[in-house]
Amino acid sequence: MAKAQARTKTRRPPRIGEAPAFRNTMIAIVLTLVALVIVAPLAVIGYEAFSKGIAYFGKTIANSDTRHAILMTALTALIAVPINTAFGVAAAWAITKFDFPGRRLLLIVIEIPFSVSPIVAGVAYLFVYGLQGLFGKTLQSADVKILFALPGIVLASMFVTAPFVARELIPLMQAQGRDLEEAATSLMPAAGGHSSSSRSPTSNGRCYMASFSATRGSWVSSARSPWSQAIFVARPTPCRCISNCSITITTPSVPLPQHRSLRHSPS
Amino acid sequence: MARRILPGLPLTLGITLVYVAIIVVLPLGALIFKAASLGPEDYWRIVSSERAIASYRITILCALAATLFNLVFGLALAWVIVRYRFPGRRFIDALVDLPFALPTAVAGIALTTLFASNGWFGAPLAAIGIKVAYTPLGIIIAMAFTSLPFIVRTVQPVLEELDPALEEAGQTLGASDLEIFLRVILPQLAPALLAGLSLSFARSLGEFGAIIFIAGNEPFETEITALLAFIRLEEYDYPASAAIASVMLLAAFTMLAVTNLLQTRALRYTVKG
Amino acid sequence: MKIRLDTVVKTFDTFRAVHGVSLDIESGELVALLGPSGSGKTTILRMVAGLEFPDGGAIYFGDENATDIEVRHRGVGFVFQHYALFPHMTVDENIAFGMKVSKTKRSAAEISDRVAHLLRLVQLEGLQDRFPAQISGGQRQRVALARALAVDPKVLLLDEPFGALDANVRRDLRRWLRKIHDELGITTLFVTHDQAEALDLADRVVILDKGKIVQTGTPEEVCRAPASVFVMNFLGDANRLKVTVSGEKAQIQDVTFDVAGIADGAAELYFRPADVTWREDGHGIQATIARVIDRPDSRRVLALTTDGHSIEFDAAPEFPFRADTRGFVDIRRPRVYPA
Repeated sequence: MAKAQARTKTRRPPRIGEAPAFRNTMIAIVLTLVALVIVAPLAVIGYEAFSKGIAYFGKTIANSDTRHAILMTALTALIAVPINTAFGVAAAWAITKFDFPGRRLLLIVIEIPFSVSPIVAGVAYLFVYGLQGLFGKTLQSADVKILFALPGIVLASMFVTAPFVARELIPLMQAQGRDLEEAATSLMPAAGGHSSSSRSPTSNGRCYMASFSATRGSWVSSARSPWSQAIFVARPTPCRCISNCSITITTPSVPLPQHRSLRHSPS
Repeated sequence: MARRILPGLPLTLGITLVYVAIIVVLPLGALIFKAASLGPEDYWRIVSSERAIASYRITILCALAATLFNLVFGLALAWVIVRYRFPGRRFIDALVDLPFALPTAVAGIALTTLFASNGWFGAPLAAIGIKVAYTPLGIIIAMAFTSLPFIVRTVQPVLEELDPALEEAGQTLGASDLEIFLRVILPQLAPALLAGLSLSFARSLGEFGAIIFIAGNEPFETEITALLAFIRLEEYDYPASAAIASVMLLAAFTMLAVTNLLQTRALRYTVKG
Repeated sequence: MKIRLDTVVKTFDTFRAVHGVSLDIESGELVALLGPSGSGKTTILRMVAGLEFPDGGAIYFGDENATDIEVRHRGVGFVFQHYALFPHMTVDENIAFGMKVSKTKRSAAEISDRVAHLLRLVQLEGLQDRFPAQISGGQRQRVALARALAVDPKVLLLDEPFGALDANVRRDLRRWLRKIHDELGITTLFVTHDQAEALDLADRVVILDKGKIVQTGTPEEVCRAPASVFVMNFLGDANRLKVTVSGEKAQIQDVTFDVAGIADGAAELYFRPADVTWREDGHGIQATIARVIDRPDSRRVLALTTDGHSIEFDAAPEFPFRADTRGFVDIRRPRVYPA
């Protein structure tokens, strides 16, 4: 009964692990580790970025290379996100609402980019569009540049961020079931004028959320290397989005260690 | 074969298949094709070279250590976020996603700065004789940092949804807190934990951006497999790069398969007989 | 084990769930806590178990004040509303759980003997290797009971034990639970919102409304002499007629009822649909039949008295009259409560 589970200000027998000593120890340990493991790296970025003063930071940001990198990142996100969103919605719809042969296999293939190293993805793209690759000769003769240019960056970003939208939507659509949509279909007057409004508002909301997280995923992907890193964000909040942006922006101002530069790709 | 009257199977399935074919299947197919063009002997020579084997060993051992750390820390973090109410809980909850949100290269630079011998953590650690940057310990830290959210985010929803009546049942039967945790709560978290662990492990195996800054990248010492593939690429040795990348691909597939198998086993009790 | 609740009070954030409830449960008794949802019955059960602590009052197990004893040391067997079986354990393992974690060490052989015994008791032999998801609701219910009994509880507590089951299964399980109780003689307290279940099963019924006990008694006592309008209505269908009492007499049309102990003034007269005889002429309240509804074992007749009250009564399946028939309603066993 709901009333029995309602939280109470009055005396209540402790649940598992609620003994005050244990509870406080756990919280203390976890907070310390969070400070050391998560907060410290963040703090050091901020500290280093401004260690030479605001002026230096501003100069770095204004540097044409930096500006170009930020522009590329934004452009990549602007291209990759709508495509990924459309794909994610389509994939989630097909997988949750229908049964067809190979459904499970498709689900696994969609998950691959999660567990495959971004390096593998980068190398793989090289063998499709690179000079030595499947389409290399054709592309060269047609004078189309894909690798080491915006299309390559977009493709690689799409690979690493492909599963985000589908992953967010699949559990939701499963939970929601087929009844709502079926009701909508049967009630639809003629075409489908009202179909979007008769879909549950939660689905629309989550759809937006999912595309939001995908946006962030692509946005944060580094634009400077074709081995864009997968960023999967489960629960977006504006606060974190802002922090991401500032991190991405501050990135170029952190001095790169000298022993190995990543900026030179084989060409 | 649609068993329902819902519209849109051909359209949505068509979009999905075309996208997956172009973005996922085609590149990975090209990679396998390239690796296969080597011929079995050359392929074997490359993937079983001493340097490659050393890189597997380092990658796997470090990934195991990082995953083990994340198992304990991630579980504790999820537990604290779900079970306790304290000021700053929501903030901690939001911070968990940070390693996902940070470009891994940025994470690598930040961790290197922290653990360099003159860094905030590096200096005190160096004073007691522990060197982190440019050692396997650095690789472990980078791997642990980038894959931490996997375990928290897979365990957290399951922990939230656990039926409190199960714990109460354990209590009425006389079990202690520890017994209830080990015998009732943990087994129910197991499928989610396994999923989180394997995601975390797979991510650690493939991690690149965060590690290369902190690892030192000394062949046989701190050179991870992903880096080796990258070095071969820089040397224009494309087939070798493809061969090493194919090994990593195989490892990723194996992880996926093992995860599926373990999850099916762990969830066998939900199957209706 | 005798259980005593002494003016127990429980308040939750939003409202007071239990207001000073006192109750004695004799050793070996089977008692039902009966009430609508929100009446506090589950909260009382959980306080007896130790799953909630009362804010005031005390709970005694025998002579021992058990109010502050932790649930795990209280020695109660609790059957949860949705059974709360451990989903990852087989039927066997579920039943053995309490013995495995017990302070009293038992050998593996002892435990498996007792599990086998309990499986026989709850008639689930052969299902020991199934998981909870693989058995029916009624079977899960019996596993939950076996698991609770395995630790030799001093008291057995059941929260809506048949709430989630089909009507047929419910009736069978009721009879079966009564049989088990009679065999084991364990003090048992169960919560239900179903009056038929409470009357069918319990030695004594405790009727609750809004966190207070409104009547306690054997099924016969509460059925024959409902203490209030609430109890009258809650226990079953009832007809209500407005009456005026004067000099311990109530009058409707030209029919007079003796109502000893009711003060003069407005009052309400209640009677059950089964306590009516329909007459074509003679003594009774004048009424017209409005509708006849057929039921497997009777006919339910809806009638309207000449002064505008609608009443319902049960008649034999052979009842020959149809709508618009005029006649007289003869009421037996009326109950009158002050308005």
